[in-house]
Amino acid sequence: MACHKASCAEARTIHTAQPPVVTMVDVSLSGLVKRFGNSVVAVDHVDMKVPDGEFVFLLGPSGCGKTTTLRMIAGLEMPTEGRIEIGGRNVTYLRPRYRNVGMVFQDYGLYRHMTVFENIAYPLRVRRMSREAIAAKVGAVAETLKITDVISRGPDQLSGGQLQRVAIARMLVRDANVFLMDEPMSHLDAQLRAHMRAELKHLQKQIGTTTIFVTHDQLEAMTMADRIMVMRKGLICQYASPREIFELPANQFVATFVGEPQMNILDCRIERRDNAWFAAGEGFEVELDSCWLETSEAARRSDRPMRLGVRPEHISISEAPRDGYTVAASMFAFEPTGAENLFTVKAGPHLITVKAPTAETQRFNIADGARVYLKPDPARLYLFDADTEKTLTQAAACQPVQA
Amino acid sequence: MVATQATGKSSTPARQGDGVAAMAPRRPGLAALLGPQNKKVFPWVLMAPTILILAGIGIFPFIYALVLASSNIILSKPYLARSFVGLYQYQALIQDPDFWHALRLTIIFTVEAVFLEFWLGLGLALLFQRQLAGKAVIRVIILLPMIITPLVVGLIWRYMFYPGAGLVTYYVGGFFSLFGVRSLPFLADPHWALQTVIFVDVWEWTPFMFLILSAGLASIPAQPYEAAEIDGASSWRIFWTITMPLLRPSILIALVIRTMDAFRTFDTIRVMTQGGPGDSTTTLNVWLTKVGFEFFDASKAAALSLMMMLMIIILSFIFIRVFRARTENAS
Amino acid sequence: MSLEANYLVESPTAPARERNWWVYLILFAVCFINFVPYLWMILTAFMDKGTSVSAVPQWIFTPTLEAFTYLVREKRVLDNLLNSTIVSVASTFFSVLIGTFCAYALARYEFPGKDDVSFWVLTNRMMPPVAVILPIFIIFQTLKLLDTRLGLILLYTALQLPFVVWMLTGYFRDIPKRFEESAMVDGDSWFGAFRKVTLPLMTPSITATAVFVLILSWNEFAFALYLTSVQSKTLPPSIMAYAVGVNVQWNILGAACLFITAPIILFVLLVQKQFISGLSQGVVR
Repeated sequence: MACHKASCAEARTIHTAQPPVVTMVDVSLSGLVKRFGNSVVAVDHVDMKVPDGEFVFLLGPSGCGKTTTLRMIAGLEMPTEGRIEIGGRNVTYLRPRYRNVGMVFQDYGLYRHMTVFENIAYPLRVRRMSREAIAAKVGAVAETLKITDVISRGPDQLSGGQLQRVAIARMLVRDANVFLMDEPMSHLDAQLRAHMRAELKHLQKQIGTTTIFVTHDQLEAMTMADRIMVMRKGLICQYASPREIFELPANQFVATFVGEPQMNILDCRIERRDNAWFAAGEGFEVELDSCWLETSEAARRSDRPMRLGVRPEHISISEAPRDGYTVAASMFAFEPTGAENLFTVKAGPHLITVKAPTAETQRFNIADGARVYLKPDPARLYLFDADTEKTLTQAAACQPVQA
Repeated sequence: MVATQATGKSSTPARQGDGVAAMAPRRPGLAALLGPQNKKVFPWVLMAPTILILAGIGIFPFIYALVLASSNIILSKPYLARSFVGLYQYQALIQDPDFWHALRLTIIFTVEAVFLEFWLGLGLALLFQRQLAGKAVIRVIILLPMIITPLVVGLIWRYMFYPGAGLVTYYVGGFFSLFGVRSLPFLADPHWALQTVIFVDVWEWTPFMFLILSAGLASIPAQPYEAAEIDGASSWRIFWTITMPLLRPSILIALVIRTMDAFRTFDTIRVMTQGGPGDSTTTLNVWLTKVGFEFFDASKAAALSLMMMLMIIILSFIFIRVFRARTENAS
Repeated sequence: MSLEANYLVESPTAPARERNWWVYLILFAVCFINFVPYLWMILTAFMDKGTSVSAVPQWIFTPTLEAFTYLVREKRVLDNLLNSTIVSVASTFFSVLIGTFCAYALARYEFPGKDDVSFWVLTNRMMPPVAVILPIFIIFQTLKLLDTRLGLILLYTALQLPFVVWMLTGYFRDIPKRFEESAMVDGDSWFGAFRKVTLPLMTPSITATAVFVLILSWNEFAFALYLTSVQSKTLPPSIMAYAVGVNVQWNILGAACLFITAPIILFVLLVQKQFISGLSQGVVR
């Protein structure tokens, strides 16, 4: 492979000079496939474009291919098919060190036998920078991440949060074109995680480098991302802004994966009675606004098994039957969470979760079996096809998405 | 602490001072004194059999050797007065040119053999990191020399280097005679014998280095390597700055054990050359046998053994201290 | 500009495949060097007397079992084989059993003198056997252990203990304490937790160490030579009878070597998977 040899010889000289400031670094994946052996397809024809400077998240359950995709962008795995471009440059089969990417690993991947300073300085020493320049840069980055006081310690003397900062510092110190992060917060406790979410988001905006972040935690993705790519079993489910993912999910998986507590999914069938449409299932019946139902031909077929989706926070609950509160249910479980109360109620065979503000519901009778009445917000309903799980239509289709 | 207090099965609450024990004591205080709860004493209980056995087998010979070395017993000359001579034996050794000769040979042998074994073993271990076919079979063949009885190893190579008829002398000698060079004498030549013996030791024990080092390599996690690749380091740099430092614990085990054993090599040399030709392969241990079992100078032999042991102890101690200081950074 | 030129590196159109042909070449050479001497010994064992002493190495010959029959009939080599087996297996069992507990203590507990004990255990391996033979001989003579299998077993157990302790201490240190602690918190006694949690975790390294020790015991020569004569002679000393002298019968020697090495090699072949995986569980940190 003459090309390969030539690129190796040229690439070897990369480290003797400072990389030029590359202005537009976007990442683009086309038809990316990764197969292990003959049977396992970890990544199944993924296409993705990450514009320059954006903070993009790969979100999904374990085994969905998000980490494999990230590692292919980094160069730690070679794709079976497809093409990867960073800043317009074809890097598909280049080794990691020629790609000018930075990475934070799930276990941080720090060099155990070196101090914090040496860990952060390592990429700079590889590039043969002068001692003073290295000290200056490392000091600056340590300052930014507030780890200056542990700079001469070894990794075994640091807490989880400090280890993470050191790993991030090592990534930041060398002006990489793209930052890659593989579930870096999974080992932190909840409070620290919340704190780091804000910090990382701020940092990313400040530095402005294109960043790709892998996580299984939908809260992280929703709070930090400019755009989220939801993956499942190697396929992309949806690639859109957090808002869109939350309000206009492409299928049932995305709808239930994002949002805490999970969206309620109820098996139902479409019925038409007296010029009104109903979604009817065992133990409940909800009237649907014909406006949005008519946007989808498929939704109006009454013989088709479907699923109705509605988020817990979009259901109103009342102890007495009131106008519009058409779904009757009985109390099953009650979880107070401070600002809100979570009720799990039983309607027919279905368990429905309702999230309501504590102020309004604190005097509710929570005895097992107590009668309540539910009113799902008609503007926040979704219909999914029971077989393909695709979103057939949603109430929002008839209304403009709130900006 | 909490864990041990929770299992109060055989502890006496009063004795332990923790009123948390849930169960009433069923056995008398001995079990409490020696049981798992007593963290100061229990380790000694576990170590007791080992210490007893080692002390039993080790202390008497040690004292015996000390006593012998401080007198002047020559077993073949029982009529010599057995007197206490203090440190005379050690003095005599230091003044004995044979001692220094043997010591010199031993040092050359040990340093050269261990050096070669280490780098060859490391090279093989690194090669074995790659994806290869038939690794299981190749590995057993690589380990073969180590499994064969050292005595047999000596015999095989004595056979191979047999003047004229041995496999090596026949083919290699024949090869060289094509160029008009007189056939290499290997074991028969004083200049070559030591190197040949070193060759055999390297043949036999490189697999040991390979085994320990490849086990060590396998236990290094992948992430520092990946991080270093992403940071832009070349393979060479990764080897020296990541692999070697993280491998230090294995290197320590391999070097200490191998150096100790190389220093005391006996079976193979004895069988191949009996220390000859002349005294060109008489290392300390071989000379020791001569002194003890051919000249029957038991006292001298005892003194020599103690000196050898002292040298090995000091060497190992230095090794361990040096490596432990650096290993602390690696863990 | 040269700077930008560096960044115009294009990736090859396919991933670089690892070119390993030179690795196979090196490995082949190593295997050749390792195996051929042994192979030659095996071949010699099947030669008749005349062929084995010929000056020109003969690769093609008619194999014969005369060396083997001689050993079995005249020299009772099978007795030696039995002795070797019994002594090695027993001493391995005991030394690993006793050494495991000692290594556990050294790895898990902190107490004054720990490093000293650890080093002292190791120093027991540093004495040249030749020096120790005479005192041991005297002890055995007094205790009537000379030429007994029991005596050898005791001695070998003591000989291998330092090695066992040294190897296992490192492995045990790697096992996180929390496994045992959680078992104990669950209400188990120390012994219960040890048996159910710790021991299974330690099994791979114990197995690997046991294989090592078995090899060392099987091959032990110096002590066996002086402490046994007829009853309990193991295989290595029995070779000496054929190895010395001017008229060495190479074929008999070869057959004897085959007797010594074949069992242990077969054994390693059988357990090599466990052996290797046990060693790789994590060496001394």
